[in-house]
Amino acid sequence: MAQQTFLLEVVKSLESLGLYNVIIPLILVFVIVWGVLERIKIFGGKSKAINPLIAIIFAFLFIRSQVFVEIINQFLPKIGIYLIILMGFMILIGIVGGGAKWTNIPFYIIVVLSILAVFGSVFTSLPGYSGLGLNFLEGLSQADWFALIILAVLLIIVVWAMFTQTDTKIGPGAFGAGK
Amino acid sequence: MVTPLEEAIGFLDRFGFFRVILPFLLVFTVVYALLEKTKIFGTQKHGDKELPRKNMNAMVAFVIGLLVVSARDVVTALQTSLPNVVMLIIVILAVLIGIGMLWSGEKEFSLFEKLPKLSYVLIAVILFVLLGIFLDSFGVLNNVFDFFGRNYDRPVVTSIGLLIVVAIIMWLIIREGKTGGEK
Repeated sequence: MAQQTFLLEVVKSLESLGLYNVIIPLILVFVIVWGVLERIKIFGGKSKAINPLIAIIFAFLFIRSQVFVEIINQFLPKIGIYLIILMGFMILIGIVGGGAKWTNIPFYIIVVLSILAVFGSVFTSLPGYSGLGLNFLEGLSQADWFALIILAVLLIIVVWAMFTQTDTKIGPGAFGAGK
Repeated sequence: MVTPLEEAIGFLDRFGFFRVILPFLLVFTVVYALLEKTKIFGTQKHGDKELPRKNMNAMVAFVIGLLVVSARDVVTALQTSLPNVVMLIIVILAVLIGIGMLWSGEKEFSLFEKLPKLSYVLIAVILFVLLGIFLDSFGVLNNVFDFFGRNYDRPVVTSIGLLIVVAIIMWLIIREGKTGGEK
């Protein structure tokens, strides 16, 4: 059992006040919507007062439906864990000389992983979720797991081969002269 | 357990803050900002500056805001669709943060620049999700699903599917013609 400290007590009292259900989601939505509106300049460049007003309206309408607030409260910590794992991976890569500027296949892999991680996090945070969609994994035998891993490795090799052959020059084909 | 701040939200809800004030403010602000931007009602001179007709724009925005508030269905649709839209924004932002971990930071992050093809797919997905959100907020989405569920083997649905496939093939051919071909 975790030891009860003064700061944990503070966090609990803030939670009982409604910090995590009202204030934090309100600030989050307000800042995100304001930031996006400022970036895209949908109301022109002179809309300094309009963008924050619309952002605060969005934020209030969002916190009214506590279902969404609950999803956010469960989903964002999972994203945080994913980002920490990704950062740990990059630190390990950094030890052997890799930089932060990733391109081509590793970049695409991380894009796909990020999309899967976010959608997985949202899916598992939905109200009423009880392992739906992943139950079939429990019944798999060792041989099934082995087959799945081999399939995944093969797929990765095929995708890798497809991407690495894009730069090669194509010779004359059967249906005409290629360059 | 209901926290004091949640009770405050509940009080505001009972007061009509979310049903009247917020929708009115939203519509008023958006309409006013668009009228100011487009200058539909013309401009008037203030010294040597040409400014939009603020009083006219504010009056029109005020009236449209009040009319929207009086339409219950529209307000309910706004209340249900906007949190969904915000949720979508947060999900997309989370994906971008994950991808942004690999960004060098020398230039501004731009997914369009890095992955133009994926961006088109993303735009199409966002459009579909937005359409679904707004159809759902007006209570039409279930009818659409029911229609396709009941008629998936009838000529109407198969014709729509065929049209979509033909449109995709035509788009691919036209795209090929634009990007490749003889010069």
